[in-house]
Order: sequence, then structure tokens, then C-alpha cells
Amino acid sequence: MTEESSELAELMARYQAGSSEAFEGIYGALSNPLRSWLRALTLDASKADDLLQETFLHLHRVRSTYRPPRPVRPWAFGIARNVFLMARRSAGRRGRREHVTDDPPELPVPPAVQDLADRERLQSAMRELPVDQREAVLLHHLWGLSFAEIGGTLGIREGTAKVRAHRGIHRLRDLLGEEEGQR
Amino acid sequence: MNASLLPAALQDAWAEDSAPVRPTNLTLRGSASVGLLALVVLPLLVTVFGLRPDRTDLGLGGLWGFSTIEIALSLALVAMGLRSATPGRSLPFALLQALALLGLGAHLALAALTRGSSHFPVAEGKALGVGLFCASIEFGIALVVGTLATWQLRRGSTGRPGIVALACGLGAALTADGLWRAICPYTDPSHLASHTSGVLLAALVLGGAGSLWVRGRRPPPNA
Repeated sequence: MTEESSELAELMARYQAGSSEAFEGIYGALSNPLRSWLRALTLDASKADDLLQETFLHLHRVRSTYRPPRPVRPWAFGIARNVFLMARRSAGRRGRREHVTDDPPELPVPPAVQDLADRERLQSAMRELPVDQREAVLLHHLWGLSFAEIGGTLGIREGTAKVRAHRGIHRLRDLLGEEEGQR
Repeated sequence: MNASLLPAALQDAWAEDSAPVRPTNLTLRGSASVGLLALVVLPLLVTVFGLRPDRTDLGLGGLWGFSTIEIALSLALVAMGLRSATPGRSLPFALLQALALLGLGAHLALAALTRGSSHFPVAEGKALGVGLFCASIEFGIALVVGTLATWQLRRGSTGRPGIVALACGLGAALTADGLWRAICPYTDPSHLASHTSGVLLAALVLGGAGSLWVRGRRPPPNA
């Protein structure tokens, strides 16, 4: 486990023990990555912000399910994804169509491709990725989750996580390479 | 608490619930609870209804061995369902599906093997009544056991409440069948159909109720 992971695990343990400072610490450490994760899932900044709050409310309610000293990020990302899936299901039952925003949010970009193109083309390529590949690419290449952890977060086999991440990075490189070729 | 970092809603959530919590192994806790409940229910059933009269023909293996196999598989199903309600520890749907099919397959196979050891037909003209009675008893046991299993879901988090609740529900239903197997002696294929119907109906009811209940516990979306 990395030092950052150990610090997060320690914060979680203190949070579970009833420390308000630790709760703030968890929020401070996880809110930006989770917001980025939700933006990558929803492609909508406003929706992502709503779901971020819901995620932390849910996280607070199920905080006993975290077991130290396991890594915190797979647990937290899993909660955020569950909140996203439940919200999408509810919206589907209410008959709401997905709102295609005119002002798409800034999506996180894995370091492996950051130097391949400018910001605009990187953002366009990230949005074009199929969502299952986008999830795997970001979880592994940006936030450093292992494929086993990604499997547990997404409810897929480790091998499937590896394939999605691999295909996602290749697809990104192709998209950026294609756009480069078109210039 | 420093008010500048946490949004108001989270501060309220903290104010409402800031008690220390103990890390919980949902998987172990849930499946152990169901297992313990089965151990309590079994002597009650035996006291009320008596052990099946053909137990000598079945032997220890056919009586307790088969029940143990079915209950073990059902507890595994409950455990896997609850593990999938542990964030970051979700299992692939294919695995849950495979275990569900294995559980149902074992239920049918054990019934066939039991029939091979003992032929205990239902009396003429009584098939419907006896079938409904057995299905109702299994359904009732499954509801008790399943409520305990799905109650554990309230501590968990899942994006697939239907699948997770169905896994727990089917596990509870097969536990009920494993217990009732020690009581009910009838081996007619038509009677097996009533057992299986009771199991499947219980699984569906528990799965549906569990799913609705888990969805209902979602924090209200922002206006």
C-alpha cells in the first residue's frame, strides 16, 4: 500500500471511531477524485455535483462496511458508482431522458496520454470512449487501482477490467492519433 | 467542526449520526446469522412435525448429508449476495448467476437422489393439499430466514439491488428447503414441483421486496 493509501486508511479508521476531523479529512481527500469520477460517468458537471453530495451522504451511512486496512479508494469509488447507477435507474423509471449538456465538464485524463494532444482534443477523445473503457482507464491509469480492485469496484472479473483498460488506452491513442492525422 | 470544508448537508448528517461504528464484515455476519437461525429453526420443525418417517431408508447421508449440502450452497449464495453489497468488493454477475444455478441444480439433484433411496408417495387424492402445505411451510421459513439476510443489506451499498436481493432471497429459500427436507418425506415428482415452486416464489418475493427496500433507503436526491 502506498503512503497516501495508508494515510487514507488511517483517516477512515479514525472516522469510523467518531472523529469529525477525520470525516473532514476524508471529504478533503476524496471529494475531488470522486467529483472527477462522477463527471466521467455522467458527462454532466451539475449532475456530478449533485451525486457527489449524495455519495458522501451514502458513504456516511455505510461507513461501517469499510474494513481497515483495506484500500479506501476502491470502497469510495464503488459507493460513488452505486449512487450513479441508482440515480440513472431512477431517472429511467421516471421517464427522464438523458440531458445532453451544451457545456460538458472537464474530464480527468490519464497521464499516459496527456502529452499526445492539446486539452480540447484530449477532452473530446475522453468523451468519445465507451463508458466501460473510460471507467477502467481512469481507475487504473489515473487513480492507480489494481485490476482486482477495479473488478471489485465495477462488479466485473479482474481479467475483464484489464481488457477494458487496455482497450481504452489503445482507443484513446487511436483517437488522438487519428485526429493528429486529420490535421 | 470546521464548517468551511463540509457542505451543510454533510454537517447535518454528522450531527444526526456521529456515533462510532465498528467495521462490519457483511458477508460473514449475514451468512453466519442465517446459518445460526437455521440451527434454531431445525429443532423447532422437528419438535412440531417430527423427522421424516423414511429416514432409516435414507441413512445419515441421505437425511443430514443432503440437507447440509443444500444449506451450505444456500449460505454461499447469501454470502455472495452480501459481499456484492460491500462497496469495492462486488462480484461479477456471472458468478452470482452460476452459483444460483448450482444451488437450484443441487436442489433438483438431491431430490432425485433422495427418490432413488426412498419411495414415499403422497396418498391418493391428497397431492394438491399436501403440495400446498409443503410449499407454504417452505415459503414461510424462507421469509423468516430471508428477512434476516436482506436486513443486512441495509448496512450495505449496491448499484444492483435487484440482483443482490435475489441472490440473498434464493439463498434463504434454498436454506428453507434444506431444512424442510429433513421433515417432508414425499418423493413424488409432482411433490418436488411444489417444493421447487415454494422455493422460487420465496426467492422472487424476497428478491423483489429486498430490492425495493434497498432502493427506498437511497438518500433523497437534491431538488
